[in-house]
Amino acid sequence: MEHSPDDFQLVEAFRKGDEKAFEEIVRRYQRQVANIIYLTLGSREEVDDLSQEVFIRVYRSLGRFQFDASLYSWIYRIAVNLCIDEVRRRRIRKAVSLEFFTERRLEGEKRTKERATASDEVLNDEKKKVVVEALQKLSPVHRIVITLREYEDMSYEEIAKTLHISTQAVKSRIFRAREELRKLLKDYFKERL
Amino acid sequence: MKTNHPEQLLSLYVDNELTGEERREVSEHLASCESCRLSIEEMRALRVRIKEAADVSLPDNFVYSVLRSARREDENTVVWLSTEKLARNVVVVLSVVVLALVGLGTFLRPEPPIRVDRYLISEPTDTLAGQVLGTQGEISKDVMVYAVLTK
Repeated sequence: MEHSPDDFQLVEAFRKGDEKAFEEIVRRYQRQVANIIYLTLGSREEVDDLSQEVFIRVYRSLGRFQFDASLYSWIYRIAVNLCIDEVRRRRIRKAVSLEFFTERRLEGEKRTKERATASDEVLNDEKKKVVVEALQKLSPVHRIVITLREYEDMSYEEIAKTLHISTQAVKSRIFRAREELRKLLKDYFKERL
Repeated sequence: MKTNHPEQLLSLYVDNELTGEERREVSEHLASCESCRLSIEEMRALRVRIKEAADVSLPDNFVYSVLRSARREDENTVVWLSTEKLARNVVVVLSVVVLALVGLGTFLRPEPPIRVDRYLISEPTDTLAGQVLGTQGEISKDVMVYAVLTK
């Protein structure tokens, strides 16, 4: 029975020039990377481009990867760093363009009103959106930690290694992020539990 | 009695990050505290909702567009590096040529004549040095050097 190669074997094969190994790495992690970006930034528009940028960086740096962390934790770190850069860029953009900010808000409200009359599936999409929007109200450090924990099921130790922070910091950030989210989604939970 | 609720421990409980002893204590508390049981339920529900919300998928050809872009960037880097290398080589070659021309020009150019005044009055006039040094007027540096060497 043929078994799929593990991450170490894929990295070794890529270093020897096998691009199929890189394709396998991308296929293995592309969904997770895309969703980490989506949950962290809260919009779908940039997901394709930023995911592509993550894997281009992986392609360029894989030759130097030392396996001092797991491959996925290393890839997620690249994704998280890109998201942090993007959050900073957005802050600057927001600061310089109040007009842009207002327009986006009005467009969003218009879309929500249009969708409110649609089917259950759309309603379900709106509810998902409520969760993603609540995530956006957290500070980026809390948002990233809770995303890695809840979406990726990473242990505290893995999160600490991925983000280069202490396990204690992970504990406290997850606790605070949850408290904040529970407050933000209080009505939502009343309805769904 | 809110202060009696082990709120931070509940978060660790949900994540299986407690020691055996801590877990046992929290379980005992949960058995008698409805409010904390509700908190645990909310935290678990939150996890499910976040997973549900993460429904983004990338296009089927994503992997190929990554490879295409990565190769294009690599090619651009190679072109840039070879252009840079070529430019560096051109600068080095031109510098060598300029230095060689300047050096050759200096070597081949005849020394301009210099004016020599008689300052060795007692030098006999039948020696070359005497003739040279005794001469009022311009002579070349080469002749003067030769005269000094033969003296």
